[in-house]
Amino acid sequence: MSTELVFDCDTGIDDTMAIVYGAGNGAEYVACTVTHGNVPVHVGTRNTLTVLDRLGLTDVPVHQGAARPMAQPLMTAEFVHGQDGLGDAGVPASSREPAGTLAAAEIVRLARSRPGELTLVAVGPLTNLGLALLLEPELPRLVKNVVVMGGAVGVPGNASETGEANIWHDPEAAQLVLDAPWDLLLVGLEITMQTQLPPEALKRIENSTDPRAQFMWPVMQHYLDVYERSLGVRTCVLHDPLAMALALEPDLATYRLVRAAVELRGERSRGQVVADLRGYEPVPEDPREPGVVRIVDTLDTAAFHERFLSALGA
Amino acid sequence: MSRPVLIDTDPGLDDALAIMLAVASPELDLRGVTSVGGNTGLQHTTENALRLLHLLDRDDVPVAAGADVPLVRRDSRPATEVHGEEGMGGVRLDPAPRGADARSAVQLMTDVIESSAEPVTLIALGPLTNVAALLAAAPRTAAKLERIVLMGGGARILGNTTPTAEFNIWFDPDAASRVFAGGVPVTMVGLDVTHSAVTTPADWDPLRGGGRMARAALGMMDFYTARHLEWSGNDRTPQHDSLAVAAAIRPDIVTTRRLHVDVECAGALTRGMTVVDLEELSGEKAETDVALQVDAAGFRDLLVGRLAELDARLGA
Repeated sequence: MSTELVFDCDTGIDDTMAIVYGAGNGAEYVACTVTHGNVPVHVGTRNTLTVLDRLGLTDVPVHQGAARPMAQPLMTAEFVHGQDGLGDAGVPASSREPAGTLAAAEIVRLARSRPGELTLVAVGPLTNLGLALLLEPELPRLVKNVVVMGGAVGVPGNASETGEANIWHDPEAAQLVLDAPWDLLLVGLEITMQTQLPPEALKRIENSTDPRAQFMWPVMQHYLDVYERSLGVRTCVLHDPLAMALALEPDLATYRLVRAAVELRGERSRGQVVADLRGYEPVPEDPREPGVVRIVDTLDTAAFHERFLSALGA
Repeated sequence: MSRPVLIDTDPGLDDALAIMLAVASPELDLRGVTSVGGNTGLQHTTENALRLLHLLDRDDVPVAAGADVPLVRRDSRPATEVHGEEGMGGVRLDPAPRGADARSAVQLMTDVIESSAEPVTLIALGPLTNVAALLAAAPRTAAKLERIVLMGGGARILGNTTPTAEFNIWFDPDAASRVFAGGVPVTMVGLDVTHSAVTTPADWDPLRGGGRMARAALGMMDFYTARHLEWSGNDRTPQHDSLAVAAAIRPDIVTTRRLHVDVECAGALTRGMTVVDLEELSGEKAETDVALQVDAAGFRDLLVGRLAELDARLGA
């Protein structure tokens, strides 16, 4: 079974993993749209083309999008993803041209062209989705559902004490996306930090002769270095692949609905996803209610890891 | 060995139990009580402190009135829906034979700290307005404190008054910000531990059939439990303030980690949130001992056991 999706990314090492995961697990990439985030947008666009071409997906169109956040300066994360965004592993860049440079408009065009069919999977700052919502207020009705890697509900952030990087890099855009009346799954650090790859999984990737694993392994090393420094063990977590996985196969997890919004004004908490976990109010029932989002309650991590490894041929 | 303590408080039902616990505990030598507006207005919290000490035969402990309003915020609201209009959940305590001390709260704190041979521990159970005023007005005196043990905030469990803010910090975030940055060692007893430091109605059975103090305590718990039941659906009530006193009596009742703590004063959704740098991302110096775990059974035994002993001493 395949899922038609538009993948909005800032490729990026774990974005790369997500593209590979999707290719091996039934994603039908209608288009990739690219935003600033892990790396500047032109670098992310090039990387997205490179990764798709490596997988033989040379006909998936790639549209470059927002070059900076809506209301704050650009900040990137080469210290996590390498100067080239692909772990400085010497990956040769694709020479394919992007299909366009108006990602937000392309999201709107595609949604209008097949109303109610597309899944939007966004794993970078939400600038393109926010712009698309501004261009087409009916967008929430025109897409099937939205899966976002972002936020940290009830756990510390990674870009600040309370802020997860994708939300923190464009809080205004994120608030537009959280508040839109669509079925939004927010895959945050509260669950992605539980997806650390065990040593045996790394061994399988390293030892695999599959070209996908042999492409991924050197790219991953920079990422493993980063996590080894912060977690004290050689591993990495699968932020973006988890969003892809749950877009393709929602049954890998259980969910709950919460009311959430993005703090825009805080001095110490701008970019924090604020969810009401107190349990004082009735649990919301409709994910399409503005400000209501799904978050993950429990995840079948072992099954998720197996699908990740199988997508790498490992 | 008895440790000199000051209690700054806004009684308040859980404050009342906390004061009982402090008076009941030989480890603490209660040298003064200062009142602050919070759970209810200052007029009530001051009167409640006087009446509580009278109930406990401690009319010798000076009570001084402090701040009625936060340092800056003008939109803070009392928690009378939790504590009742007058703060004691409708329980009528006998009037005290005295009024509040003529001194201000800051003056009483200063006098107690300066006159004590041993460093004083300040237990803060309400909004931190008085404590911030002490730090601002008498920094050299404040520096002589052994420690501030405060009930407030949260690291992982963030809020009760709002999704991200605990009442005491929410009520006066600017004061709290000043206290965390004030240079005096702080133990933060927040929702991470107080939400585990719960009692059920049955836990209070040792007080049933007791004297006047037991009757007052049970009356307060009945009100507190009924209100808690209304909005949370369970009768396990967090004993926020008593846990802070317990942490002063027996520091090992909570497990702490030294972390940097800041307070969000500007957020639209996060006003009054303690920003606890759990992942040590801020690069700021870790200077607050944040309680992250609690010996809940040990706490419950201490609280109920000490209150039952005190009630027996006080008699009918």
